[in-house]
Amino acid sequence: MKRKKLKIPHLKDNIQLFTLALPAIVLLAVFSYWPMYGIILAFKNYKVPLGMWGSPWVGLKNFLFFFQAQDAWRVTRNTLLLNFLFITVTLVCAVGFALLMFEVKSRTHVKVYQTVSILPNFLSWVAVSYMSYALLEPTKGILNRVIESMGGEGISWYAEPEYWPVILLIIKIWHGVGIGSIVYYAALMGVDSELYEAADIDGATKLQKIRYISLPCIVPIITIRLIMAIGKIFRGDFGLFYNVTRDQGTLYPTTDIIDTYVYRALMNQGNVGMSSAVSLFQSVVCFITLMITNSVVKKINPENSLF
Amino acid sequence: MKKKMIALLMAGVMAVGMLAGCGSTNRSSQSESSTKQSSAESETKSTVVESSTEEVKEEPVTVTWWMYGGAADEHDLVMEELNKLLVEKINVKLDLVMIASSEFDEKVRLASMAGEDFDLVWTSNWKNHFDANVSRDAFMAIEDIVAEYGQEMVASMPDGLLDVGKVDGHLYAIPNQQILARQLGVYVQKEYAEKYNLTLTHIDDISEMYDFFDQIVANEPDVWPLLGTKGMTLSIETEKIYESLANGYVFIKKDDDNLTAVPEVIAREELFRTQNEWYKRGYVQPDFATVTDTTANAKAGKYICHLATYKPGGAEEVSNQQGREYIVIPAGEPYLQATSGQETMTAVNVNSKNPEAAVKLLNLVYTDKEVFNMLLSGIEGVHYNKIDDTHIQTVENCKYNYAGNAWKFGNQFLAYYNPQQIDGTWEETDKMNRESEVSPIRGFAFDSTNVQAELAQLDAVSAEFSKGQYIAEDIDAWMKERADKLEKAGLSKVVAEVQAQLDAWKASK
Amino acid sequence: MTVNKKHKRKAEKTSWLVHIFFILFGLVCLIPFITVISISLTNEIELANNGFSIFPGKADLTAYRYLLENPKIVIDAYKITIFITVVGTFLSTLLVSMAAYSLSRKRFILRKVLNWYLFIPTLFGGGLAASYVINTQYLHLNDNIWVLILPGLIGVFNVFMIRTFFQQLPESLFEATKMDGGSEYTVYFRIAMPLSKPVLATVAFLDALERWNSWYNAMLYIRNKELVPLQYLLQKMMREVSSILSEMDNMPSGIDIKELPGENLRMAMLVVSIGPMMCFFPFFQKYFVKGMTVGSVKG
Repeated sequence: MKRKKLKIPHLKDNIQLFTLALPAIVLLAVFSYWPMYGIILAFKNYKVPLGMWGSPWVGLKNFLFFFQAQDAWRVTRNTLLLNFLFITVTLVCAVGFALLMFEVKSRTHVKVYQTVSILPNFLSWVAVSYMSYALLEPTKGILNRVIESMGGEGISWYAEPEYWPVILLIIKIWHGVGIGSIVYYAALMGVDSELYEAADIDGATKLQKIRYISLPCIVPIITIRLIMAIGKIFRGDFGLFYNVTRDQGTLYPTTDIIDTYVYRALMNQGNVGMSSAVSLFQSVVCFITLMITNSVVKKINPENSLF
Repeated sequence: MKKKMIALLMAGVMAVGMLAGCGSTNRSSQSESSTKQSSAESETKSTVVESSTEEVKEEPVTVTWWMYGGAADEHDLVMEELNKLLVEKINVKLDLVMIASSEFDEKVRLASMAGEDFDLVWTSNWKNHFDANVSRDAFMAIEDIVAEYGQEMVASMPDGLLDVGKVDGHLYAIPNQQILARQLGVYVQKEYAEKYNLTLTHIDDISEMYDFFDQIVANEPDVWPLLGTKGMTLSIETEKIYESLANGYVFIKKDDDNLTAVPEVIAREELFRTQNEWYKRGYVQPDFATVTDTTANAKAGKYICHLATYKPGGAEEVSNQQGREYIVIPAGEPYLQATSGQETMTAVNVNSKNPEAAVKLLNLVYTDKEVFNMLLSGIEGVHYNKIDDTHIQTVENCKYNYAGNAWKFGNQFLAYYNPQQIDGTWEETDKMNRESEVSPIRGFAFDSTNVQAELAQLDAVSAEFSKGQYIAEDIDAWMKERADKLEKAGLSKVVAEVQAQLDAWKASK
Repeated sequence: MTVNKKHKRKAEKTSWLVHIFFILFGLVCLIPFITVISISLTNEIELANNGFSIFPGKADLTAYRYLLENPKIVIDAYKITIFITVVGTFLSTLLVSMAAYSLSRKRFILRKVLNWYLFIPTLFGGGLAASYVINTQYLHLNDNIWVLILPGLIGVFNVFMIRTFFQQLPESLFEATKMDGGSEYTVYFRIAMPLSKPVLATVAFLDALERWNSWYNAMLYIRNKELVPLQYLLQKMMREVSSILSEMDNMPSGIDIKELPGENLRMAMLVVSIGPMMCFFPFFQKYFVKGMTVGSVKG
């Protein structure tokens, strides 16, 4: 008994901690790990009567559909670049938004501002696409009418792919910055207020307080969110890219991502093998980028890394 | 305090354990929370018991039929009534499951992957794709069962119709009877046709209507002469000369006995030029390329004309659906394509436990006027009233009306007419089906197994260019770009595959 | 009292530039929202003729009347949505924070393993088909309200977020409690949880929002009309229109356009479905109180 205790320090604590984590372990086992056998579909020529296990193996044939596609590089590039853009810019905006919100001292004001700023998040991408269409529509659209009233020439937005990374970015920020900043605001709320009082006494400026107190305190949470976001860098926000661009072919050069491409290509045939193959490919790339990010973070500060 | 904490925690853990348990093992609690769902079943079971004590009949088999479309409020009520009739006639019960259009493909695919044992399922060449289902063996080969239980149904079909449900000699689906012969028509709002004295009764080319369109453009600023077509399935220009194969990527000329496969980029050239002209002449709304929802404009009557398939009684049907009067101008001649009939079919799920009963039921729905009309229109006196022998009028606030789905359930020609439809419409349609010109490759079915990856890439590329002709300033450049991309996606490989299969088919004849 | 005073003094310091920023941003958020309400109040035909506008020309309640024509459906859907949101959020926040606490404790020997165990599912999934087969064939969860709650109960993202907060709490507080004979449970419930109210409230709110908006599992697994959540009704309406429109050219028979819900109806549904969630939000905000955490414990 005694020897065992030596082997596992804090045995009692460990048992208690394990029981705390147990429900999560069980639920993930059932709803996440068990279905993972579905990954084999990527290597199978699926036949209903034979089932997932019994269907014949086809090696890597299901992967060819995507890798041989002439647009494979284009959609891969778009997915990575746009997601990278979204991750970095939304992060900066959300943190900035939270810092600004932190400056507002009146509780009523905070409540109103926060409530209003999370409104867009309630609009589904379909609804957002109506709004953006009302704005960008080439003839009656508000934006073009403004441009024309100022003597400019209207732009047929839905035919000009080069504007769209920016348009999508703006919409994404508008849609998510309010909700995204809440986490950082909550983190700022956890900062020991004595620190600020001490800084006040030392006569620190606002920027100095942000630089030396607020930011360092929320860096851990920023890092975690960043790592998690990068873990999804190879999966795009289908709703945004499909609805807001109105699935407009002329915009594909800059807006077509892996998820929309696969949706389009497999819509009619519903080939589960091919879609599983692409999904597995996405997982693997996500895994690699994530491991790289995590190890970089670990080098800088082991405390903040995920593993 | 500590005890309290632990107690609370234990309670939490236990609750979770119970939840998980309820999911995995305890079936009774699951059925409790879904009593409503199973109540229908148990009801049917209880009636089963009753009837079996009274008569010495076998217990009726319940056939589950998956159909797409919205479910009516009084669905269950009518099913109950209908089942009495079905048990009496063939001792089978029907459980009709109506699934929303947007969910149909996905739900059918998942359910069949999960081995669910629904029996009948609707399929076609444009939704819940027949080819795709056959390629993953999701349908049962039913030629023997149909030979035994579906004789009346087969007998009512025109020659060759059953063949479109066959792949490699096996029958996988029963085509429904409705308009089969393919002909296009221009549907025109009657008000404007009269106002501008449109007297055409037949056209061979859409350009014959340009005078009319020009008048609309000049005099009616609030409306557009034509609703563009998004897909490329409605094309007077193409269909004059060609018929399509392989999801519309390959064509053959209607009069070409050599059966030469033509890539779509050639067959559709004329179509794209025409549609581009519509855009440049202002016949279609200027932002048609980016519009995704035309319902509001359609409801407001902003499109004077639209293209659709032509059929006897078509104008009445469209008038009824659009809520304003339409006339129709047929274009070209009716033509029976290689796969005409695949537009709406019924298949038997490979996991079905009662394929015989399923075919028996389908056979009955296909041939029995009473059953078919109750399925479509509900109960007489409750959901509709008879006007005369052939016409019915639905009651106000009708809570059961599947009449719009008539073409998905067996034989449309058995349906009662609504008040707008004229007597003889079905006979005329049937006549058109039987008498129109027949494709030289009628009965040929393309097997896409070898070119799955190419078709997926082609689908992706052609969607990229969808509606681009309505915005292109230089149509030739646009077509060239499109052709190049399709070529790279493997168009010529698909053409070669079609050609090889055509040659083999021809040789076997 | 002193705290109050301090707050007041700071309130004066809030720059008017900050206020202007939030007011402008608020407008940008609010206007589309008002437009949605305005569309829901506009007649369909008028919409086609005049397009969207911020204020409805003439209020037209057709869409709402249509929605409430069969109030039972909407009310039932509300009940289901509220149930899955409340129960799901409560369970999820509890279980997630429990796991997060374990992960945050350095003495937990399975920490590394558990980290990986939690993380892998965010990257690799078996796909829809496998989940569907398991949920329907083995767990028999179809047409069961728990299928709307259980599968997504462990938000791994939230576990890591809460873990990060727990890690920032001063270890000395934990040790002190343990010295007094408290178990890990005590530390979790009495120290870690109360000190992390802002983040727990945030996670709970984000989770509630997601649950409120979720509809996909309902689409897949629920056939019983009485178990349909609100959001699924909305999504179905939205998706149905686009599905029918995209297939229009292929259909052998025309569609009855009268049966397609107009934009006004779709927007009315949107308003009906998100209204309550908006009222919910301020309730969560009450946990965003400065000084509630570390400082308050020390004091």
